[in-house]
Amino acid sequence: MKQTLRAVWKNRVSYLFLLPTFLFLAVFNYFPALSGLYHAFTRWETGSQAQWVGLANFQRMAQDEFLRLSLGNQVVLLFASLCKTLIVPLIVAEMLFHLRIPKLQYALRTLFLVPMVVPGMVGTLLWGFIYDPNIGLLNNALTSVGLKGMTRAWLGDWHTALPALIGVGFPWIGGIALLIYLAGLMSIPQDVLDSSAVDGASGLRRIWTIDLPLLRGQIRLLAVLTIIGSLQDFGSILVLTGGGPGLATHVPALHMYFQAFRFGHYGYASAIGFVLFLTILAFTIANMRFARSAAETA
Amino acid sequence: MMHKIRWMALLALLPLCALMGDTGSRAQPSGGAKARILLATVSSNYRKGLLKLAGEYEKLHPDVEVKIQVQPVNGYETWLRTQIGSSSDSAPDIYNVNYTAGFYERGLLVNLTPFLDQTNPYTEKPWRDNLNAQFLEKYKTGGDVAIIPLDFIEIAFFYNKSLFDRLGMQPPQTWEEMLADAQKIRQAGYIPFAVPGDADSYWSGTVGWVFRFVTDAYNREVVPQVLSQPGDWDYDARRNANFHLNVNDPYNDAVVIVNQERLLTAIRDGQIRMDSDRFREAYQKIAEFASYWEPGFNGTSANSAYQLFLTRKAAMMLNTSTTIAQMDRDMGDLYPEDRFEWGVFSVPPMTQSRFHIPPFRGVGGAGVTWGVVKKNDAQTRRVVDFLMYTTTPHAAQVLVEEATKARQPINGPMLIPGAKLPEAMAKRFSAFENRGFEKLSFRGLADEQESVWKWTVWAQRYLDGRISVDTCLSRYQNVMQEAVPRVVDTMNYDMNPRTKDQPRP
Repeated sequence: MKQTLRAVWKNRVSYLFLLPTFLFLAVFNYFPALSGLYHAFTRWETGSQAQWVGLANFQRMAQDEFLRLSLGNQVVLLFASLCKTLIVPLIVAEMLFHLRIPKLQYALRTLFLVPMVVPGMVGTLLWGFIYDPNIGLLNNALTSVGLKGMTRAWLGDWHTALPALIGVGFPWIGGIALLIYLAGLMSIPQDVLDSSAVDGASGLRRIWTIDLPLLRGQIRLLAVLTIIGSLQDFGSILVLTGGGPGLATHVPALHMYFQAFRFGHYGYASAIGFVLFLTILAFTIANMRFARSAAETA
Repeated sequence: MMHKIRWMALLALLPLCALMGDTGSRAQPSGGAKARILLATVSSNYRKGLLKLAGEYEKLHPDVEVKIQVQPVNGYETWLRTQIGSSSDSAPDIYNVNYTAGFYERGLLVNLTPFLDQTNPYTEKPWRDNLNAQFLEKYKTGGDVAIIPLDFIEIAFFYNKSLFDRLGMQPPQTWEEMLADAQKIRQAGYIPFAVPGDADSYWSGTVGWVFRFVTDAYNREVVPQVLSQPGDWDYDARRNANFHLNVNDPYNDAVVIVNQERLLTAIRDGQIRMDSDRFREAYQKIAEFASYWEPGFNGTSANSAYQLFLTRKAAMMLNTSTTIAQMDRDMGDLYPEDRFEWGVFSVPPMTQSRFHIPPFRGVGGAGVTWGVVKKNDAQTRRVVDFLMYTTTPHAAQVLVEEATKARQPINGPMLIPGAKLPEAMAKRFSAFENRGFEKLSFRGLADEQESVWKWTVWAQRYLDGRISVDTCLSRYQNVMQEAVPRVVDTMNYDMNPRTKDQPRP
């Protein structure tokens, strides 16, 4: 202990540098999270003191019809997010990696990353304009090519609202995912690639037997990040549809937001947040275990 | 080198110190520090006027700093709930109080009743003399005044007069005539009505207004059941004793007092049911009306619907009196060949029904309503003094003139006696006036947000044609039954109309 303290004192300037970061993290990240954990077991309404109610909020969740109905949408959105994040950037990364002209590869890589400078909310609002049933780009484009019959109130129609949300960000080439895949592909040793070429593996066969197994770590990382992001993110849904029409695009995280900031049920919202946290944790652990056992089997 | 690193470490700590140092700095002025009043509003049209008044007030009171903070409508309600609900120091002192139903009952707002009879130092008259008595009564909460109305706002139909002339049509005199006109308009290749149908519209926009004025008309006969009775804590013989229902008089029940506990009891015990025959017909009439709205209205925002009307794709829209100035401004900005003549007509009365349905009444009222957040006595006195200043005839005139100069819309006539509107504008507003005000209208349970949201879910599904009227109303009945205990708890009611219930401490 004394040695530790002595080491800390010796490096006090470095620790002093780290202190603000840790304090900010403690105040703005850890404290609210722990506070949410405690309040999940309380009845805490706007303007009133929190009262301990044990598991009552969780019983309420089990009977909450609207929360139950939102689960189906969440499963669809999660599956779509995984497909969009894991598959599309991988295809683009493979195409970029195999380009024979380095300058072109570099230029295209830069072009794919440039959209990252646009704030996410701006992109979401732009998609809102694209989907606008009356003055939106999509419907006007369809009308101008003689497909007026296909025009829809994309975000207002029960049948198309969820698919339209999935379509946001098309063609879904996420800059971070692309970079991670490219870095993974570049780190494959050249002798492995040469050996596979000697063995006659090329094109899709090489991707399937060489690239994908060696990109397992990257895929696992992106899968975890996507699951976390998909279960937590409701911002774009709130802006584009507010969860509607009806409950067509309602998801648990949005339900949590409504309960807290629209209805003032902070205790109940904390309970939903707590269950979301446990779900994300379970998904993450399962994903890590599954990926590890798959690697061991291989 | 070490010396430099220490300085850098200190610099790294500076933001933290700044953050910690700011905590609570607004709590109380001490020594030479100025007291601060924060008015946070969504009424951006009055921004310039409010800034001017703040400047004038600061000159009269050099020890006070008045900050006017104009906020976007999106997120305003959430911001208020988090700031005021958590008693944050950064909570506003004055705000648009119609965004936070139930805050007075929760003890978060100041009871302004005792101040009304105090002399307004800026007019040398009792404060209530500068305020509209009818509207003060209308917005009383539990017998107390916690809301100061500033201006008037109402809805009416805007129509494309050029198109009506071309199709040989006049503004309709009845609801049925209006739907027949809508059919002709559709046959001519236009959208009859531009209506936003997103969730905001069901809560505080066009669709919500439609449900409110229709259900108000269908529930006029229910009013006597829920009036406060002799012996009730809020019974006022001057207002309730001589009330006789006359559905043909839109102002018949304007000042009578509805006892909220009696109303909640009637809903809880099934005397007022959402799945009754009256509601069924009301909802069917609304669905018939909705069949003339633009396709996909549930995905149309208020701005998008307005654009449909402005670009001549839609022939009519239901909108507020605020839109008059906006239409004038936007029409002037169009190319001359794109401009058209437009007019306004009141919501016409329904003449065909199984029931006797009186003319539809207004769902408007005060546009801007100020409330004062409870902080401490000294701050309350200071803030009320500023509010007195902003509700003088001079201040109201400043708000009108600055808004007009800046080409900003004005909601409607000012509710501060003595303030005058430009003549042309005052003439336009006449279509919005003298229609009375809703008394018992239903979309959700009053403004209780959870019930409004759940009702919106079922109403959107119903107007989308996904569920039947019976399913919709049966679900709505459940929503109301669930909402009653929540409202009782929020308002701290004991459900005995004889006793006045105090806000929860």
